[in-house]
Parts: sequence; structure tokens; C-alpha cells
Amino acid sequence: MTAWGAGQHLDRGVVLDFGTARARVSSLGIASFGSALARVYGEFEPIDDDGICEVSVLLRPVTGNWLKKPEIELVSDGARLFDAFAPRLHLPLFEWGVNFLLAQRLLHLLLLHAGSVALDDRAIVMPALPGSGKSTLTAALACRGFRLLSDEFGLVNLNSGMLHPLVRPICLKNESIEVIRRLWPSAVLGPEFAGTRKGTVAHVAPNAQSVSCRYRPAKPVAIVFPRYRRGASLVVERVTRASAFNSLAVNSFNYTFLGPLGFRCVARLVEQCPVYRLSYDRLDEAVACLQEIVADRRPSGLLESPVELLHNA
Amino acid sequence: MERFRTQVYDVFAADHDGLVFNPQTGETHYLPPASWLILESLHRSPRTFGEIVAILRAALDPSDGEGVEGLAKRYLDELRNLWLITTDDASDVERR
Repeated sequence: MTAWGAGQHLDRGVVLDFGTARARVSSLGIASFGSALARVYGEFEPIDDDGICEVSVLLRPVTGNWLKKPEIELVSDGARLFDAFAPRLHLPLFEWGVNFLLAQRLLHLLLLHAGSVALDDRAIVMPALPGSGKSTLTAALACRGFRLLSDEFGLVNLNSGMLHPLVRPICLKNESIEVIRRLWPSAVLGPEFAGTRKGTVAHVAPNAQSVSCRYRPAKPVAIVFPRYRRGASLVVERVTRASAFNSLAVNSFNYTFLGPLGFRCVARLVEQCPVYRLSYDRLDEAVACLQEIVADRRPSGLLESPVELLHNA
Repeated sequence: MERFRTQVYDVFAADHDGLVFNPQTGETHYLPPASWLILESLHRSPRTFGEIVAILRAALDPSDGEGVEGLAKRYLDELRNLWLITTDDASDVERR
């Protein structure tokens, strides 16, 4: 074990342990990447060893074209991932790159594109398309005592059906950054990065509780499809099980790859968990609703007539 | 007499419809109520066309204009095209 140093240098590389997976990260000559990483992974102990990692990445400047503006690239196993980024966007490049790699490598689990949080080891899975408010809601729940399992993945064990943590920073975009700053003044946020392909992004550091519990699976007790609707009142509806199945399968990174194992895993999840659609504007109302759901109480204002989901609409 | 049969094992029943994993193609199919009813009945045992018509007739609205026999034929063709059911018919055996 080691500790984050001031102005952390990553030329020798460090290992980050997210719980279900580990990543080795190194960089060459990229100013401020080490300190940004140290801030959003502040609760983690960077590991200085040569153990097996699911992901190994190197951030480095692009060389060979003196006529272009300086750029950086993310390299894994000798291959560049994505187009090069401006050097100031080091952390977003790292975070998105590692997400991309993890989605391809954790094939022993069902990988849902979903936020996942737990209270007393009872987990809520929140599958959603980009723009549905998944990350903002995940951050809001984390600031209200839920432990973060993942902002990006619902990792379902094919045998036990349990949800595994993959604790990494929560990526907030645009207006959500200020919303979470106001809601959670003690939250540790990394630097803001303007001009990314998703606008301005900032990362919320996982808190100590989430990091210390990152090896402990949680039992999924509800599936909630969130959708942010500006100015709308909170509406919580039941979802038909067949359309919930379809939407979960569509939301999965590796459902097709898993074949019958994926089918059985999704079927079990839908059979054991109630499925809701939660439309909301105010985060405090959404959080209160999810607190009722995770406690196995009937959420206030639940509309009993089940709705069909069409691609998470 | 020709009998319809299925060899799919991984099925998920919702309220009146369901999903099935197709081992031949690796695809997952959502089946609406009438198709699901047929598949579910074949899941228990092979059946003749007449037996399937009787099952559908008991479940469907008899005022349906297409007629139960026509519906049964259409749904069976769809299920067969998805490789979810087969018959004892030689051409099906050859396809498999």
C-alpha cells in the first residue's frame, strides 16, 4: 500500500481497486492529472504492486505531429482508445476509457448500464439512458446515506443474483454539478472540465462508507427506471414485467454475449424485484420515494396500473 | 397426424405474455399473449393443430373476425419462422 502524494506522479503507475475490478493507471508528463486523480480517489489507497488488473491504461501525449495542437491519448494493451483529447481533459478521458474497458472485460457478470446504490445491503438498480438523470440521482442518494455501488454499472452475479460494487467517482454533467454542490456541500468534487463531448463534467469522489464496503455485495430489492422531467410532479408507476425484461436486456452491455445465462439472470432479477418508473423534477422527492422503496414500503402516490416501457421512454 | 413441438427451455412468463430465449439463434423473443399461449402449451407437450385451435378458442374473443383457425395458423407460422417450434413434418426435420 501507499498513499496519495501531493502532486501525485504516475510515471511508475499505481493500482486502483474498485472492489469488483482493479485498474493500473500510469501517465507520462500530463500536468495535474495526478492531483485530479488523487482528489476524486482520495478515499482509496493507491496500491503499488504488480498484481493482476482487469484494466491497464496509460495516458500520454500524442507525439509525431508538430503542426497540431497538443493532445493526449489513452492507451491500453498497446492500442489507443478513442480519438485524442485536449491535455486539460485528462480525467474525463481516463474515466470514460476505464468504463469502456470494464464493460468489455467483466464478462462473468451481467453488466447493466445503471446506477446502483444500497442501504443496509439492500440495493436499488436504476437502469437508464443517458440524460435521464441517473448520475444526479445516484449522487443525491449517496449524500442521503446510501452507499454507492456504481454510477455506471449494475453488476449482477450470474449465480447468486447479488449486486457487486464497482466504486468509482460519479460523473456529473452541466447543471447537475451545481445541484449536487448545493444539496451536498460536504461532497468532494474534482475539477470541472468544460468543453467535453458531454458539456462540462465534474466527478464526485466516493465517500469513505462506499469505499470501505466495496467488496460487499448487496441484494437487489427494486429496479427503478428514473427519468428527469423539468417542472413535472413526481410520478411513480409500476412497470409490466415483460417490458421491464426487455428494457433491462437492451440496457445491458453483455446480455447477448451471455446467451441463456443472461436470459436467466434478467428473468430472476425481474421476478424477485418490483419494477417502477420514477418521473421526477425535485431530487428531494425522488430520494424520499426511493427511501420508501428500499425499505419495502409502498411508495406514496404509486399508480397501480402498470405501464409499458418503450426503450426507457 | 402432424404434431407441433418445442425444444426451448428458457422462458419467462409475464402476466399474459412472455419472453423466450431461442437456443437456435441466441436471440430473445418477446411473445404477445396468443403466441405465448401456444408456446406455453407446447412447452408442456407436443400438440396437434386441432388441439392448439381448441386452446386458442377457449382463450380468445370468439368475435375475432379472422377466425380462430386462421389465427392459429398465422401464429404457428410465426413461431416456426423464429425457430421456436417444429413439427414432425419432413421439411422441418431437414431445416433443423
